Amino acid sequence: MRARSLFRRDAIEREMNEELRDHLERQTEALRARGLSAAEATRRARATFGGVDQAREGMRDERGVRWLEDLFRDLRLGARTLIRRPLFLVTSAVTLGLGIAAATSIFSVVSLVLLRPLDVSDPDELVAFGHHARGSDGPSPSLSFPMVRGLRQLDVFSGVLAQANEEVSLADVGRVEAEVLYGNAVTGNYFTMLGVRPVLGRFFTEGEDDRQEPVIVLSNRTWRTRYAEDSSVIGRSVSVNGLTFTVIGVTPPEFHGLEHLIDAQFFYPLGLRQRVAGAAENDLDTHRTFLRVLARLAPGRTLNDAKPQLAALATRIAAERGLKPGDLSFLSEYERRARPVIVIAKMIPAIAGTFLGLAVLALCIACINVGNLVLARTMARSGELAVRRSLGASRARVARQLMAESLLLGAAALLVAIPVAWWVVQWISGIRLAADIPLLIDVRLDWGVLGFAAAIAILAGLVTGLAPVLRGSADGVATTLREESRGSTETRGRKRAGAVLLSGQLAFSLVLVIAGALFTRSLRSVTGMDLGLDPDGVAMASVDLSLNHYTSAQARDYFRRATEAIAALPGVEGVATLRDAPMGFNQSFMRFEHMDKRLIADAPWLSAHTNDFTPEALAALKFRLIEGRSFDQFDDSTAPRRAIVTPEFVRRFWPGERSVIGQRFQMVNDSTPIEVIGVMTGLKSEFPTEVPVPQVFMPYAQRGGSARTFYVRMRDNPADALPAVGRVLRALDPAVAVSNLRTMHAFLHNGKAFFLYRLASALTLALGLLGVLQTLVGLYGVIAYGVSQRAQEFGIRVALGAARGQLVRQAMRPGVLQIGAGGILGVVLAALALPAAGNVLAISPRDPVTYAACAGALIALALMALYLPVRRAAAAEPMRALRRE
Amino acid sequence: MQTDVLQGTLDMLVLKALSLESTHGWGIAQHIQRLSRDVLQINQGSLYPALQRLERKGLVSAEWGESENNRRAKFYSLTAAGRKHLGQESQDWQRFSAAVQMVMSSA
Repeated sequence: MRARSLFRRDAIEREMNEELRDHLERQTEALRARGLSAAEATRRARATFGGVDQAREGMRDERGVRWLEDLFRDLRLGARTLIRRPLFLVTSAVTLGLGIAAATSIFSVVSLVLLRPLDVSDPDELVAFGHHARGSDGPSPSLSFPMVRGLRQLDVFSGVLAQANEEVSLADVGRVEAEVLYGNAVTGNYFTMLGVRPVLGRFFTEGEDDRQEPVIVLSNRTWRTRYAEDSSVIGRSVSVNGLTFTVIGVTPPEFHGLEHLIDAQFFYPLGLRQRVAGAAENDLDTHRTFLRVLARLAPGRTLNDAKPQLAALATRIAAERGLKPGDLSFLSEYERRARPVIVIAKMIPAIAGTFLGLAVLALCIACINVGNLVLARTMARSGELAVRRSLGASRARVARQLMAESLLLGAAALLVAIPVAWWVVQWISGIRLAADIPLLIDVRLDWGVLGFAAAIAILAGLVTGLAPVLRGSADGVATTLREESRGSTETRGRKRAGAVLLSGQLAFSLVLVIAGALFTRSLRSVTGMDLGLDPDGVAMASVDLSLNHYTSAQARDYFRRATEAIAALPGVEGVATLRDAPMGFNQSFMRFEHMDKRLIADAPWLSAHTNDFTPEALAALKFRLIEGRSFDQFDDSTAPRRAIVTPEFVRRFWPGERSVIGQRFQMVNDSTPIEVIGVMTGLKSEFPTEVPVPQVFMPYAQRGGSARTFYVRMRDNPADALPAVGRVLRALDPAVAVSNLRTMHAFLHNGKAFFLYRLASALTLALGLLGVLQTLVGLYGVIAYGVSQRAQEFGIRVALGAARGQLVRQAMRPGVLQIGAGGILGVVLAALALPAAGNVLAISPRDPVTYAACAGALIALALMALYLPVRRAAAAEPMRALRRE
Repeated sequence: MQTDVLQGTLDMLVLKALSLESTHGWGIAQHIQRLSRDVLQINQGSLYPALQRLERKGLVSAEWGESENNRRAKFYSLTAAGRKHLGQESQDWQRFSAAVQMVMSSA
C-alpha cells in the first residue's frame, strides 16, 4: 500500500482532489436546491467544507507515505535554512567533522594493529604460540625447532609453520645495487598453510626447507621497487649474503608477512638459514628459541581442545631438556588476540580500549558542543518555529524538521571528516623513520572505517538534533520558550553539569596545548642542542660486511680502501668511521672495572656506553677533546690498549682526580690494561636530552668489527656527495649493501633523535587545537543559548535605562568564572602531568613562559567566545527583543 | 444547536452511516447530519482523513463508481471486519453513554 502510494503518488493525489471537488459540488448543489443563488451556494459550501487544505493534509497523513514526502521536504527546507546561516553551518560542520575525524583516525590505527585480519585464508583458525621456561626472564613469544616438531605431531592442528626474522644483503651483480633487506626464513608449508598464492612464479613446496635448495620468494614491494615489476625476475640468480639463490616467486601485494608493523621483504626456506648466516651451528638442531610459530586448527577443533595436548607436549620437551615437569609451559592464543606479540597481548585490549574511549569522548564532546550551538540557534529561530506550529504543522513535523537539519549537519560534518581523516591517515602511513627496518604503517581508510565514520556522523547528527527536539518541540516551541525564559525548566543541576563540562574541556585543551607548545619548543631547542658532535655538512653511510661473510682482515682492508677512496672525492674535508652511529638503533655497552680494586661500594664494575672510531673522527665530526690527545695511526693492534673517556666516566672511576691521563682500567673478564689517553665531551647516543652516561671510546684499529658507519665532512652541501659515496662503497664490492646513505641532518630529523619530538609536538598540537576549537564552540553555544533566553529580560532592562556595559558584565560573569576555573585547573593538571615527560622534554616541563602564553591565549579566546553573543544580545533593540514574545 | 463530533467517535459514526447504506463521502456527511437532526456537523477536514484511515485498517472498502446523473464518485462500503468492529464499538458506546447519563441525571 505504501509503495503503491509512493509510486502512484500523482494518480492518488488526482483521485483525492477529484473526490474533494465532488464533495464540494454536491454541497453546492444541495444548497442551491434550498434556493440559494449560485454564488452564495459556492461560498457557503466552501465555508462549511472546513478547509480543503486541511482535508488534503489529513488524508496525506493517513495515507502513510507522509513521512517520506515530508522527509524530502524537510531535507530541502533544512538545506535552505542551513545555507542561509553559513557561519553556523561551517562552525558546526567543522566542529563535528573534526570530532569524527579524530575518532575515525584513532579507530583506523587501532584497527590496523588489532582488528584487521591477516590477509590469509581463514585467519580465525590460526593460533599463535609462546613459551615460558622457569628461571627465564619471563614468557617468550618464540619457540625452538624441536617444539615446532612436537606441535606438528598433535592432531588438533592441521598445520604448523615457523619463521625466523632475518637480515640479508641481497645483490644482483651487474644489475641492481646490493641492498640490506629484512625478511623471513620460513618453513616449507608457510604459504600453503596460510593459503597465500603467488602473483608470479611459485612458492615453496612442503618439505622444501629440508631439501636445502637455495630458492627465494620476493615480497610484492621488493619486486615493485627493486625490480620495477620485471616478470623476468623469476628464475633469475641473485646473491643472498654471497650465496647464489634462484628467485621463484612474488607474493601478492596485500600480504606483508606475519609481523605486525613490519613489511617482510623476502622469504627463503628455513633449512638454508645456517648457510645464509654463515653460522657454525644449526639452530634448528638446538633448543634455542628463535622461531615465531603459527598453527592452523584442524577442522572443527578449538583452542580449548589443544590445551591438554600442549600441556603434555610441554612436559615431554621439558624432560628432553632435563627440566622438571611444570618448568616449561606453552602460551597459546588465537592469532587475532595475540597481537602484536603473544606475551604482551593481554595488555592490548586495555590500551586499545583507552584509545577508543578517548575517541568516543572526543566525539561526545563534539556532539555536546554542537548540540549547544544547535540549541542556541533553535532558540534564535523560535519565532519561525512558533509560526510554523501555529500554521498547523504538527509537533512531530517541527521535531522532524529539526532532526532533518541535524542529519544534514551530520552529512556536512562527514564531508569535513572524511578528507581530514584521510589526510591524517596518509600522514601516519607516510611516516618514514630513518630506520633500516621496513616499517609497515599501512593505516587505511577502508570501508569498515568509512562505515564507522558515517555511522558516527548520523549518530552525532541525531544526538545533536535531540537537544532542541527534546526542549524545542516537546510542547510547542513558543510555550517552552516562555517557560524557559522564566527559568522554570532549566534545572540548576543541568546548568552546573554544563559548567563543569566546559571548565573541564578548557582545562584539558589547555593541558594539550601546553604539552604541544613544550614539545614544539623542545624540538626547536633539541635541534640546536649539543650532541657532542657537529652534524652540519656531514654525509653518512653504513655497511655491514658480516652479511657478506668477510673475515676481520678482509673487513679491515675494505674499510681502509673505502676511507681512502672517499677522502679522494672532490669536496671532502674528512672521512671517519664509527662502529655504532650515535642516535642510531644499535648501541653497545661494556662492563669495566679497576685494575686492582673494587670500583665503588654497590657495584664491582661499571657498565659504560662503548664505541670506537678512526683517528680522523675527531676532526670530521668535531668531537671536543677536553684533555689529552686523540687516537693516531700508532694506536693500532700492536700498541698497548688505549681509550678516550668522558667526564662522566672519570667521575665514577676516579672521583676527585685532577688529571686522569695515563690512568688504567680494564674490561670485566679481560685483564689487559686500557690506558686513558684523552677525555672528551660525551656523545648523545639515544636521545638528545638524555642525561650523559659514562662513555668509553676505543681506537678502531684495536677493536675491529665488520659493521661500520662512514661519516664524511663536506665543504659544501653533503647531500650532493651521497651518490658518489654510495658508488665508491659499492665499487669495492658490488655485493656489499649500503644502508643509511643520507645526510646526518636527515638521519637525525627522521631518525629517533628528533622524530619523537616532531611526532609528539604534531600530535599534541593537533589534539590541543582540536580541543581549543571544541571549547570555543561549546562556550559560544552555551552562552549564546543562555543570552537568547534572556533577550526579553535584556530588552526590558535596556528599556528601563540599564547601561549596556553593565548588562554585558553581568551576563558574562558566570562564563568568566567557568573560564577562570578551567584555566586554573588546566595549569595545575599540566604542572602535575607533564613532568612525566620531563626526560624527553628539552625545556622545563613547568616552563612558566609557555604556561603563561598558552593559558593567556586560550583564556583570551574563550573570553571572546563569551563576549560576542553577550554583546549581540545586549545590543539588540529593546522593542525587538520584547516583541519576540 | 450544532456540535462538533466528539473526538474518537467520528470513525464509529462513519461506520454506522455506511452500515445503513454504501455511499460517497458527501452522502455519509449528509446521513450523519440528518440522523442527528442537524446536531452533528461533520467537519469535512476530518471526514476524508477518517475515511482514508478506515480504508487502511480494512474496515471500509472504496471504489469509484457512477452516481446519480452519471457523476463519478468514490463509493465507500462496510467490510465484514468493519461490521464486526462497528458492533463492538456501538456496544461500548451504549455502555459508556448510559453510564454518563446515569451520572449526569443523578440528583
